[in-house]
Amino acid sequence: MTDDLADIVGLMRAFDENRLSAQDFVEQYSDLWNALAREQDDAIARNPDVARALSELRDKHNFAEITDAAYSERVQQQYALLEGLRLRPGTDRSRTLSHVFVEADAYREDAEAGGIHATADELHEEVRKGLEALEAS
Amino acid sequence: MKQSLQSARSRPSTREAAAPSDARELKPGWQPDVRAWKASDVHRMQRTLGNHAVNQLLAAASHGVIQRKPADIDKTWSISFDATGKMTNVGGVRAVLKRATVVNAQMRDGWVKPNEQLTGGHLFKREYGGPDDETNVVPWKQQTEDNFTVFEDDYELAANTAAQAAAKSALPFTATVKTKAQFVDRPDLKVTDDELDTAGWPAVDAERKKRQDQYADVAEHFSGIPIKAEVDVTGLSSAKHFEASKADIGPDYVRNDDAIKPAYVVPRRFLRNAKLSRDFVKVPDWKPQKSTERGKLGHVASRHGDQFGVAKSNQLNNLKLLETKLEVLVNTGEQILGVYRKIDVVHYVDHATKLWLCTEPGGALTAAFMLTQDQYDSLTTTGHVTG
Repeated sequence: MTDDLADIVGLMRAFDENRLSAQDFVEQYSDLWNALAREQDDAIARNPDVARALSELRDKHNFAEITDAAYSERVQQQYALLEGLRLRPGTDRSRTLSHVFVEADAYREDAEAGGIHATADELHEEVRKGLEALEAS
Repeated sequence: MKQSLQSARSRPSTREAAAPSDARELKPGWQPDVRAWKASDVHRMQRTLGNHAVNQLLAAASHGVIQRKPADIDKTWSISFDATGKMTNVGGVRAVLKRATVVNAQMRDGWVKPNEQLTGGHLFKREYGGPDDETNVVPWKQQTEDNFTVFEDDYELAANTAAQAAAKSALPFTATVKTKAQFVDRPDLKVTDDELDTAGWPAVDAERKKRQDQYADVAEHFSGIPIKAEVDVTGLSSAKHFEASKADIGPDYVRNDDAIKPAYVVPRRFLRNAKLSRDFVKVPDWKPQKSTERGKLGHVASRHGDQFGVAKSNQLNNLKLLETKLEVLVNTGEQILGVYRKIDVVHYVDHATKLWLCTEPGGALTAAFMLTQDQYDSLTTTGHVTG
C-alpha cells in the first residue's frame, strides 16, 4: 500500500477497530471516496487522447461491437496512460475501495441482515475483507 | 422476473413473426413462425401451396422441427467516390439489439458451453452504409473482428488511393464489396422429451416446458452464428479477399447438459438492453416524514444530490425534484438486469454522464449515484457495480 491512500485506509482501520460509528464511517468514507473518484475523472479529462479512446471503446461495447473481455483489456491499457492519480482505475485497489463504497452507501441503521441494505455488522465484515485485500495488493 | 426475462428473449422478432402478405412472396430460405400466423394467412397458403404442404408445415412446427436460421448472406455493395475523390457512401444507423448480445447472454446463463463471448462484425462497414441487421452483421470471435479490421483498413486505403488517382482525371471511382455468410440450423441444441425425462424432470411440471422452450430459443439464436464468412473487394489495383472459417468464427458450442436438469440455477443474472417494463415506485404520499420511499430519496439526496443536479438536502421540494430526475433516468437510461449486493435488481445507467440507479424488480428505488470508471466498467461487463 502507498501513503497516497493513507487517509481512506486509516479510516477503514478506525472503523475496523470500533473507534468510529458506522454512520460516521459512512459519511467520512463517502467524502474521501468521492475525492478519489473526482481525481480519476479529472485525470481522464486532462488527457484528451485517453478520453476519446475510452469514449470510443464504450460506444463499441455498448453496441456489442467488442466483447466484454476485449473491452476490459483495452480500457485497462488506457487507464495505464493516466497520470497524477492516487488511485488508478482498473486496479485491484481501486476495485476494493469501490466495493467498500457501495457497501457503505448501502448501510442503513435499520437494515435487516442479508437484505438489500447493509447492517453495521455486514459493513464491518466488508471493511475487514477490504483491508485484507489492500494488504495483499 | 425470470419468466419475463425468458419470454422477452423468446419473443419472435418482427421479421420472424411476419407471415407473407401473399403466398407468392414465399422465397427459398423463408422460415415461418406459426405462432404469429392468423387463420387468414393459413387459408391463403392453403389456396396457394395446397393442404398437404401446409399440413406438413404445421405438423413440423408443432414438433419443434422447424428452425429459424437466418437466410445465408450473399450481398453486393459499392464504395463510391465522386470525381473529386470524395467518398459518397452514407453511414448506416446503429441498432442496439444484436444476435451477439443474445447468444452472449445465453452463454453467460450457462445454457451452452464454452462461454466464449462473441462480437457483432459488420461484413460491410456501417460507416459505408452497411445495415445494422442480420443481412450484414454476424457474431464472431473478437480476434476475427480484429483481423477483419486490418483487412478493412487495407482495402479502404487501396480504394482511397485509386479514387485519388481517378480524381486527377476528374473521374469517379467505385469499388465493389461482396459479402457472404453461411448458416446452419442447430437442432442438436434443442432438448427432447426423452432427454428431459432422463434429466429427471417429472412428466407434469410447469417448468419442464419452459426449459424445453429455453433450449429451442438457444438453438434458434445459435443457428445465427455463421459457419463461414467471406468478403471480396474488387475494382482495386488488386482484388482483396477475407475468409473466416468455422474455427475463426467461434468454438464448437454444445449444450450444457447440467443446465437441462431441474435443479439448474442460472449462475448470475445479467442482461444488457433489457426490455422489461420500466417500473419506478414514486412516493405515494409526501406527508409522512418517515415513509420508506421518502427515506430512500432522502438518502440519495443527502449523499449524492449534487450529482443529480439537486441540493444535498431533505427539503420536500428538493426531494420531489430529485424524484423527477430519477424517473427520467429510469425512462431514458439503458436497462440492465443484474445484481446489487447479491440481490437481483434492475439497473438504469446514462452512458454520457455515468449517472446510475437500481431498483428492486418491482420498481422500488434501491440506490443511486454517479458511477466511477471501475463501477461503470463492472456494470456493463458483469451486471454488478462492483464486479
